[in-house]
Amino acid sequence: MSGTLVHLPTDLYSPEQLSAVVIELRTYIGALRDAHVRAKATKAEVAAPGHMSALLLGVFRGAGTTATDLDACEKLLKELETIRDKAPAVHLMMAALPNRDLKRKFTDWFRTSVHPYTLLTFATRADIGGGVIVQAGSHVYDYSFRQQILRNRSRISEIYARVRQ
Amino acid sequence: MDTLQLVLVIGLIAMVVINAASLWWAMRLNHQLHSRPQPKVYEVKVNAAEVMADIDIATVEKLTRQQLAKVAGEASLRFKKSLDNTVDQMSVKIGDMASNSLSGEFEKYQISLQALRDQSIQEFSKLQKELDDRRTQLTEHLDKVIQTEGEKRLAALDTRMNDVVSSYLIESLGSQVDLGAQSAYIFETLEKHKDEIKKDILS
Repeated sequence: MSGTLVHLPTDLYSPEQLSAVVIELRTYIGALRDAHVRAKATKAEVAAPGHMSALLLGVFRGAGTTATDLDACEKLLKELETIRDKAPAVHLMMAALPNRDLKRKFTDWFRTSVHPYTLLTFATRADIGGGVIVQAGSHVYDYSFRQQILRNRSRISEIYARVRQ
Repeated sequence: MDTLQLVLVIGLIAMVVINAASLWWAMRLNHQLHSRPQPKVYEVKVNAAEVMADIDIATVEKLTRQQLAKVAGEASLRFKKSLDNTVDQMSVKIGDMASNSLSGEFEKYQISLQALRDQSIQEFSKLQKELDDRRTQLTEHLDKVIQTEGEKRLAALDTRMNDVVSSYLIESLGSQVDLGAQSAYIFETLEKHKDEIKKDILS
């Protein structure tokens, strides 16, 4: 998987999105195969079949694949399926859902710092106050404000005593 | 008739014979005693009226009474004197005896009392020492208990206060979430723990 040249776009961050892209690409390949047959019969140029989503388009761009190249598309499909099955998934919990920019920042950070095919899911937990809880595999890294406050709870009395003096 | 009855009959006959012999012997001795010659008794009669005259008898009686009274008085005086001496001596003796006896007993009593007092003082000193030790122990224990209880209550108060403050902070933060403002902190934290996250994800 590390030898592949596919570069996932930052907007494609979740396993669900990747699954949707795989399905869409599979449908697209079917249509492209039909288009190839049709083009061979009519001896015309192969036309890209219909509309494709921005995510799939981004995948094509990231992989440097021509949309009408059937072999390249099939190879891309296999790579995407491999990524879908094997890519590390990280679950992020925050006090509120991040906007698109922040999601991109998270995706960039994880794909740059941890693994280039990291897939992210986002969820909210109102009681954590802020920060982030990272669940990767069986481990949970709690960097929430709540945890920080509770961890340093004993310092509150120290601060209170300092202020009282 | 068996042997026992025969022996009893023979014994009875022997006793009868012995009694008869004894009676005969006693009668013989009585007869010898009455047969001795009796001593002669001569009667002499003196007539006092014929020895002294009546006047002399009165004088003698008077003198005799006087002498008797005198002797009786002297004897009475001697007896009184002797009795007084005896009483005095006995008083002195009794006093000495009482004094000696009482002083000895009192001395023994004093010695016993002193020993008892010393023992009591020792016992009281020991008791006082034990009481002091016990009081010291109790005081130290009480101090520790008070200190421990105070620390426990302070810790409980701190914990309670920390819980209150923490809850307030968390609730306050929960109602005013700004992920944009938090993003710097979040990425800084992620960067700080990047290696452990990466290790866990890639393992």
